[in-house]
Amino acid sequence: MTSRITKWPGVELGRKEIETGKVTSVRYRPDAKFAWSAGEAMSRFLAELQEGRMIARTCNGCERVLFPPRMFCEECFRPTDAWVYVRDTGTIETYSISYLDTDARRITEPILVGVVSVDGASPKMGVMHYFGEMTKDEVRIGMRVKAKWKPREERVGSVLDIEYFRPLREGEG
Amino acid sequence: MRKVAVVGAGMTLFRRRLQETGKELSFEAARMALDQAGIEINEVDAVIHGTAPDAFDGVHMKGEYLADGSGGARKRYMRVFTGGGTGVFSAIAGWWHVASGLADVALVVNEEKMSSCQPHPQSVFAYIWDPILDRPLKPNLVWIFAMEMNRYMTVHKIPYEDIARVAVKNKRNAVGHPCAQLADANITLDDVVNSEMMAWPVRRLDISPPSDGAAAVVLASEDVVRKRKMKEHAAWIKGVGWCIDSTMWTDRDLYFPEYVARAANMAYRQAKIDDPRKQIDFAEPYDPFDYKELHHLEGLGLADKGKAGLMTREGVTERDGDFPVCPSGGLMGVGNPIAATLGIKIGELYWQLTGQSGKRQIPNEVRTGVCQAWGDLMQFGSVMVMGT
Amino acid sequence: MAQRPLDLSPGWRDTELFGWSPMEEVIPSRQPVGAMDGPRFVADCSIQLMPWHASPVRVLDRDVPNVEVVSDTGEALRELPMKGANFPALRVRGRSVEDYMQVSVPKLGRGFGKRGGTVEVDSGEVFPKDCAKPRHEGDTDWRDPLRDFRFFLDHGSGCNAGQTFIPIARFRRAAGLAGVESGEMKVGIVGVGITPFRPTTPEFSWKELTYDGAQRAYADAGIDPREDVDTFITCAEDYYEGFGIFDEFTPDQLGAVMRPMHTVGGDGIAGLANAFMIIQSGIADIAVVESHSKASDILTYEGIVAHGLDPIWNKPLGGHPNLIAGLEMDAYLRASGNTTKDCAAVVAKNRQAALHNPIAGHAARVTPEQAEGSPALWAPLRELDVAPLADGCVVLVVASEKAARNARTTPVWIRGIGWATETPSLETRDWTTSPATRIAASMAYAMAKVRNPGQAFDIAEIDDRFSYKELQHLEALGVARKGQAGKMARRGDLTAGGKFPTNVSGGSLGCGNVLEACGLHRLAEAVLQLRGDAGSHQVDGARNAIVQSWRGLPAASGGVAILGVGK
Repeated sequence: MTSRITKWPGVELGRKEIETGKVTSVRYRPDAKFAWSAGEAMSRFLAELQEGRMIARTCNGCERVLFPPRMFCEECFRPTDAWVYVRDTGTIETYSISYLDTDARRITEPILVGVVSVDGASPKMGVMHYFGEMTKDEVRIGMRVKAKWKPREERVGSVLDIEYFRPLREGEG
Repeated sequence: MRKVAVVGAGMTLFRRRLQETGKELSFEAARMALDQAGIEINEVDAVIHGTAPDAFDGVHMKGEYLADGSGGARKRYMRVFTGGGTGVFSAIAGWWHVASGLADVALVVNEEKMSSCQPHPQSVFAYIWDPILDRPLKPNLVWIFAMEMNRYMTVHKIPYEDIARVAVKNKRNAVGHPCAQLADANITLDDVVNSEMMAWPVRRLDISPPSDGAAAVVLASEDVVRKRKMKEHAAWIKGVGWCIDSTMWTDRDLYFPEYVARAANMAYRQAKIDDPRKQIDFAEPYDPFDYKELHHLEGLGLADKGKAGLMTREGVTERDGDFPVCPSGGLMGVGNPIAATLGIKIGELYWQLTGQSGKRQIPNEVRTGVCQAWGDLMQFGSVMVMGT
Repeated sequence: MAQRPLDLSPGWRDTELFGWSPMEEVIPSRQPVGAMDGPRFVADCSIQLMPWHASPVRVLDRDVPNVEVVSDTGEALRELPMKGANFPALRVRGRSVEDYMQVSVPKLGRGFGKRGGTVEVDSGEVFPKDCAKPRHEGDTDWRDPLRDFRFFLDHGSGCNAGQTFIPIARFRRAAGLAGVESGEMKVGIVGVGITPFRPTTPEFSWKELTYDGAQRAYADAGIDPREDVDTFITCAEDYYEGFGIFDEFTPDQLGAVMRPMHTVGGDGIAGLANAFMIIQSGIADIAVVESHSKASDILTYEGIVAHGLDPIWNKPLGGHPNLIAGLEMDAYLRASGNTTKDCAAVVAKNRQAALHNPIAGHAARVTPEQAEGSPALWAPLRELDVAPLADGCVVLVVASEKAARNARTTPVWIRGIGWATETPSLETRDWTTSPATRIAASMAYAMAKVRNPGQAFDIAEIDDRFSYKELQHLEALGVARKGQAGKMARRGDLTAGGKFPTNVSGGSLGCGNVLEACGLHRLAEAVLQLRGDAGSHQVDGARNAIVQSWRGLPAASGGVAILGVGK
């Protein structure tokens, strides 16, 4: 770097030194639990998911259909106007084929995940979800997909009430 | 508006795991920056601390915890936090402390101790997502980068090799950096292209790993630089800008970072730059993944949309090229202790502009540089233009 | 300050050139001096040291290298010993009048003035070099690192013997804090939005709650955030919200999408300080500062607070974090002589005052006896000494002087602002006097040119998240003398009709502890008071307010803001 600096501080440690106790360490698990109020918009969103439907809000200011729904339009900065259902079909905007699971552990069967822009909402209004019933070679941006819902009795009011999005079949949507 | 200069910088080694506590890391970096600037701690009017998620170090109100190590005890001490954007943003906050006249000398200290987090710092990234819309899917951080990278590559039809080349360039550049965690003089394009697939299209060597580290810079007003005769080792802040996009990332087209463009425009306007490619000599965009360097070069207006890859391919962005990019080695080469990347962005601009970069010094004369950091959910950009 | 005969050299006249107070004791003299051999410039001065100044004050003039300061016995002084209300007399000697020419003219507010005095110019003195040291070789224009004392002498028409000089001096505090020179431009608060504080808000997500607060503030200020606001600031901590990076979840509900916005890990006054500095740096005219609490979403509040403790020294001890407040209360009461009865009076005052505040979440007719009878869970701290949690959002709209001219409301000017952190370490901090408050206050007082905090303000809104804190902070601010705050509480001085209305909003004890938003809450309440908009709890004629905040356990950080209406 500069000839003026000769010593760069920092003592590197390996994982072993901690595991074998060569370096003293303190362990702590915080007691940090939260339960977020879903609020007006998300509560209705989740209730509709339990019914097997996707719902959005309209904003007359910018004439957009906002999905996921929200009680205020962030562009116009005014309250949104009405509830409107959107379809459970859409288009893949982007995706990834992941060989990492949610704890960054390696898996051999990849998880397909991506963003689906939903029919009936304004362009690009999307939701992240898994993809299923397609191989990693079949998934592509622009593919038309449809939600596969869990059976009614298994739905609890969560984005997981949809199991995944699958390719749209002939005659659907 | 008072003129403000960076008059000293310091940083610690960046490594996957360092023995020092967060306070000690902050102290080391701050001490080095003060020594380099020739300023004592009791001449510092304000201390600004930048550090990213509290969950890494495992302390709520982490800014308070690090105050004493950062030189903030019994002082004006301010912590700012913009996710990954903190690496440049805290220096912007330092800038307005001095530009407003409330401080003549400000010390900006950034620290990150990701290794404290068990079992792996990655786990913290489970908590950056919306609790209702995203978290139930148990997303991994790499997924979102992969989705952005996919969109970018697909919209512009960019071959993967053009992106992988950035990893090669930066890891090789980092050989000249004494703090580098991932420098590799011998890395080849094949190494990157054949590295383990993490989440398509992202491979292992496309990613910068978690790191521990700290960095600091000293900012001084024009008066102080003049009275203390610091011009020789001062680099002036010409423009600052920052911008945040909507939380609803699934409603955005990720192929272009509009928020980086707006932050850059804010900084360029202040710096009176209307043709950035011509008026700027080199750049340090934020490169936590290799494709991000290209994505951000386009956002900064330094390359046309979709064309940044060509610059790497043609060697334009090499240290001895027409427009050096990440001469430090970037996050890909030196390491990614989130906020402490201050040392590789602001710090590198400072060292390059004052001719102190040693083995990494850009051979052509450089008078103006731009650095940028990026954070949150593909959402925040901070930009600083510096010059002599 | 009486004149003191000083025995220096022939022809020397003893004069008062400068003092903090009282003005009426300054005796200008205009007497001719005796024979002059050559230039030696002598000026006399004295300084009052404010009671809250924590450390000895260095006295060296950074811009005048050849200046020496000597005590009344002639010995060169590098430090003024802390003497509280004593006024040491000092003398400044230099080589020429030019040595005293200063570049900038400090503006002194009320209470200061120009003093008359005679200075003599004499010859041939050699001054000890160690008044101010060169910082490095070749340094001829060194600067005093502590920059405490600067003389400004408004030069007359020539450097002649017997000339009357009018000295103006500005005092700067020691230990690295700059005497604050804020820019010429004023910054004011032009909009306030407060959602009603409630123990729980299950019908709102935090986004919807913030949207509510924001719309109130924008309606008050008469602005459109999408068009008029240059920068947005939020004061938040990840662990209060339950997110890894809370900054991500901030812009939409404030109207800040695709705008400059950032998060401050600090309380409301720290956030306001950011807005103040951004506006004064010239890159913004209007800034918005927001903070909120959704404490009802936190299931394990004590666990979160405890998570702020040092992982090596403190966390392993366990225990409820409020025991730290209990320890501090014990130390403070012993040191100050205030009593638990005084604290109970504060509890009763604030909870009852909240009955007149429509936004309060915990208003109740609590009596001092009830407060003193509540369980001593962290003795001496009792259950009712602790402000209960509440949900709520506060948003302020801050404007430059230029933008404030078009404001819908009377701008409330920020006359002074300060913030400081003492230390995170429990082991080494001062457990009694809240140094962070003192340091922040001295910064704000210097900016606002406040000499006598006991007299300068009509109302105070200060942190009372633990009852004893209200007393501790009054004393740390210098508004109450040490040990007197308790008496003031018991005498009723602190009520709305008393001598020094404090927390007439009900404070956090009465309105609710809204976490990082407490500082903004107090600012908002003070703004409403100064505008005459406080309705049912208005204090008549309030024109100047002092607002103070503390970050809460386990921090020793806080801020002070001085607000005023009118010119």
